[in-house]
Amino acid sequence: MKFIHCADIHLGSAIESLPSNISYKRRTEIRNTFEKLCEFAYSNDVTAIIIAGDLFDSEKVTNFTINNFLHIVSKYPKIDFLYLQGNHDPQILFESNLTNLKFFGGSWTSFNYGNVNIVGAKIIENNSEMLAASLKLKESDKNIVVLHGQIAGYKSTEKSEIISLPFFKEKNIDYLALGHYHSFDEGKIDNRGKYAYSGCLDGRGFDELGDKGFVLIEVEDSLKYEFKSFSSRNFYDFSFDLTEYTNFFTMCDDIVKFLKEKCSYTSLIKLTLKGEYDADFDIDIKELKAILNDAFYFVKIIDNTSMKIEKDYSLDKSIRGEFISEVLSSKLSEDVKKQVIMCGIRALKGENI
Amino acid sequence: MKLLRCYVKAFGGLRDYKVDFNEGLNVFKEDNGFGKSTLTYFIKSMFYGLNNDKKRSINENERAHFKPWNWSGTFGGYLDFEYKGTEFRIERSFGAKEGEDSLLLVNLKTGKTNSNFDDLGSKIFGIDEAGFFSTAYFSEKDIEAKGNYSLTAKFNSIYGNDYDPESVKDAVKKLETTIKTYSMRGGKGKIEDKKSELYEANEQVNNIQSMVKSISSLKNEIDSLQVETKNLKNEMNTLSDKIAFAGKSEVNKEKKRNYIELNNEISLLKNKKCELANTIGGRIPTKQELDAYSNSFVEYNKVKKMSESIKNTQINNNSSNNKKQKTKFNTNIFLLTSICILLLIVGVVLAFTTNFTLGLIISGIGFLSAILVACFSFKLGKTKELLQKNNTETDKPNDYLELCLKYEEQFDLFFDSLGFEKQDYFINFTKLNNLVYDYNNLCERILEIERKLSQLNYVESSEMENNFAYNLEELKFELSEKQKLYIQKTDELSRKKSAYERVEDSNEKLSSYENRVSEIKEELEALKREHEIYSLTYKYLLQADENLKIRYRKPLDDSLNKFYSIITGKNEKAINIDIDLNVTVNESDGTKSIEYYSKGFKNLFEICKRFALVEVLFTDEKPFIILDDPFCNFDDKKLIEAKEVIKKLSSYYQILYFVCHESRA
Repeated sequence: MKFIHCADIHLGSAIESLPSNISYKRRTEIRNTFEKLCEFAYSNDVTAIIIAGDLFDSEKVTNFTINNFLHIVSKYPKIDFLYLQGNHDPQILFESNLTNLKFFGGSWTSFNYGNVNIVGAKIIENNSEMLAASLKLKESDKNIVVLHGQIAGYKSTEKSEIISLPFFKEKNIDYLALGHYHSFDEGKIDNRGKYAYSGCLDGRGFDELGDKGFVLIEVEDSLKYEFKSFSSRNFYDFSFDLTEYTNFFTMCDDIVKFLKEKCSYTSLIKLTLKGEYDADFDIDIKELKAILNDAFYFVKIIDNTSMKIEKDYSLDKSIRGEFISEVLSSKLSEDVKKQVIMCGIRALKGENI
Repeated sequence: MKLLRCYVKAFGGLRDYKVDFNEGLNVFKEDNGFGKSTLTYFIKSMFYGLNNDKKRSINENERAHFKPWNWSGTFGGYLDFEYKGTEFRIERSFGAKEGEDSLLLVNLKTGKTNSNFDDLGSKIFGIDEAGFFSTAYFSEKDIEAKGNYSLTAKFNSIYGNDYDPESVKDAVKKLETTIKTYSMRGGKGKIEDKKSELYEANEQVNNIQSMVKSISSLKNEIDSLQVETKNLKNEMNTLSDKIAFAGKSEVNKEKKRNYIELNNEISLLKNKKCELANTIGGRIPTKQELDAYSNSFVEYNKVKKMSESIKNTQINNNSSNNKKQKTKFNTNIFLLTSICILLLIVGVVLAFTTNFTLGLIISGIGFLSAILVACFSFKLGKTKELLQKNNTETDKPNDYLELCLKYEEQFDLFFDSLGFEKQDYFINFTKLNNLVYDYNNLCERILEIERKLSQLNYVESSEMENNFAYNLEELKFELSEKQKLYIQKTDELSRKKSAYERVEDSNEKLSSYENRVSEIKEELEALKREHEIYSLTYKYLLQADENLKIRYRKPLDDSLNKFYSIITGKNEKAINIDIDLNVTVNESDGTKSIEYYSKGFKNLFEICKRFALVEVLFTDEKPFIILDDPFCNFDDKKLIEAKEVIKKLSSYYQILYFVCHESRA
């Protein structure tokens, strides 16, 4: 028997970290990824898809998003969708008459498939201890428990319910299907069981790097599971030092080569430029951005470079020297000085400013 | 400062090369390829080191360029010079990389050394390497007469290839143009456009947010409209049922009315029938009876007539008038017949002689008349026969009488049974026939009404009786009003649903629009920053230009006049430099631009300008001047003048003068 464990899909998410045109497409891609997951499940005879929380992104999820989800579920009537609400989901469940869409509640709700028992509950106000105490599972069954929250000790950027793992020891849990943490991770509960965060199904920003997907659980004599990478696109974060470069186009070629070695053209990349460059080195960030966005799906450039102002420009008697000395001796901020000097030098050289 | 001597251990093509320098003019007449430029760079590198290590091009990368061929180890040499009255030696060696270089500065008097002297040249001359090379080094292109006589351009061109003499002007103009694109008069420009875009994006978001706020009330309105239309539908159905029912009631009412009418009529008819029956003793003779009596009455009348006519015939047969009448009759017949024959003959003759048509008509009349006469006479003959016959039956008058009496007796009994008065039989029979006729009519009418009653199918219904109170017209009116309201409400519901879908769609896109607003805000801030940078760049460039002009105008004016007088021998102030460092020459009849002068004059003026610049720029120590065969294109006359100039100038500066031809030495 096969099951899919996924979580943190965040359907309808605004994805503010990307430009609006990219974020709109990304939202659609995430919806499509979920539908592809269902198609995978159908093609691989999966019995049920466990959604361990944060199916949606907000309490104020639109009807459009809900209806889209329900529409997808209705297309696969032979697959059960077991849905546990997470901290981002609307707390009041929407109405549905789909028989294959089932909900976990505030107390343990159980769904049985032969000797496989899938049990889940919402953690509310750190009641994990109480929940654990009330959890009764048969030793002879294959028991999958579903929770959404943060295992104590995990770092999280947002407030969430805490799952105290020790309380879930010796509870005959074979697999603890967790949601909340957006990267795949796994660990041991006790001698019998393991826990795993499936991670999110498809990334939404540069804080969700690496492979994303779901966990495929197979239950025969024993329970086995495996992470499956499934995202439509991956996010990457790189930095590049341009200190040694004196030619802009050589640098561009090297950057493209560097990125192509590490990611595919469908990727979303954040590239931080660092290092120092001479005043005579022409860096055109817009041009670089255009080159990279032509080679990859989306590249965001962070310019952390600085111009080398090593010389004593009082010794430069030309207009350039006078100009640089004038700017350096002003009360402008360092960052503005740098930009003004760059602009002035390019203007004096007759370059594009 | 002045150069004393140098030793080139290995540098470029020079190996183990020594030279002692004189104080004033040092002429180096060597063939091409000797290494004049190499020596120049060696001297420069002693003060400023080697440059452009990162350049890949050998021409640009001095280290790669001047590394001796087939040489391992370091290369370089030393240079002795005098600085502020003290003699020093720079010993410099260069390796493959800057890290392998070494520098040693030795005070030749005291022997003190210093190996950590960064940027020695800048410290000595007060100008950087590029500045030094651009001023203290002359080549033939520096002597060429230039179109631009602005000294500012000279400053700008100090750094050679990278800067065009007009770069400040162009740079300022470019910045001005660029700044205008960001902010123009009349609220135009990139910043204003972006603000407008932000305003519109915000409006869009606000509109959607307002719409989204109304979504729940819209939903409520839709729900209540759905309930309202449902109720209206039910009411309409109820009204339709009532109307149908009322219709049925009306029909039933009509039926009832008809039923009553018919019943009343049938009652009347039955009463009449009874009355009628009673008038003839309650017994209506059957048709057969009536027919029999009628036939009997006919026979009776015949018999009676016969009996009377026989009597009359007997009387007539005895009369002579009868014979005369008979003869008269025969004569009349003969005359008529003759006339007919005559008409016939005349007609035929006319037809075949004069007028066919007329003849035909006359003959036709004759013919027809003949036929009529024949028939008349035949009939009369028959009557006679009958009379004759009757005459023969004069034996039976009593039989007829008896028959009549029998009939009368029958009739009397019959009419008596019917209660008729004794009166003329004909009258009675007529009366009886009329009565029977009326009676039969009544019966038929009654049957007809009974048939109608059965067809009416009227059913007594108390409910329908009770609901006869419905006013069908009122119900129909009410239904019509409800239908209108229903259509209105369903239209409204449809519109609300469409609006709801639009709001839902907008809600779905709201986050994208909000994202876009954030982006536009960032873009606006970026534009403002760019505008600020351009504006500041513009300001500082103008300031720098102004500073140079202010700083150097007077000194340049003085230096230029000094060197001009050295070169020309004229003592009066001949050169003017204006606020923009444009140069003009004083003549007796006014000031003139350099452009008006000869090429030879302009060449000399370039030399003046360069020396004036050197004097102005090298504030700390007077540098040595390197002239790299600058007069190679001069004609003989100009060459002589140029050499004289160099000699004069060499009393002010140490000059290293490189030539490759004796004529210019």
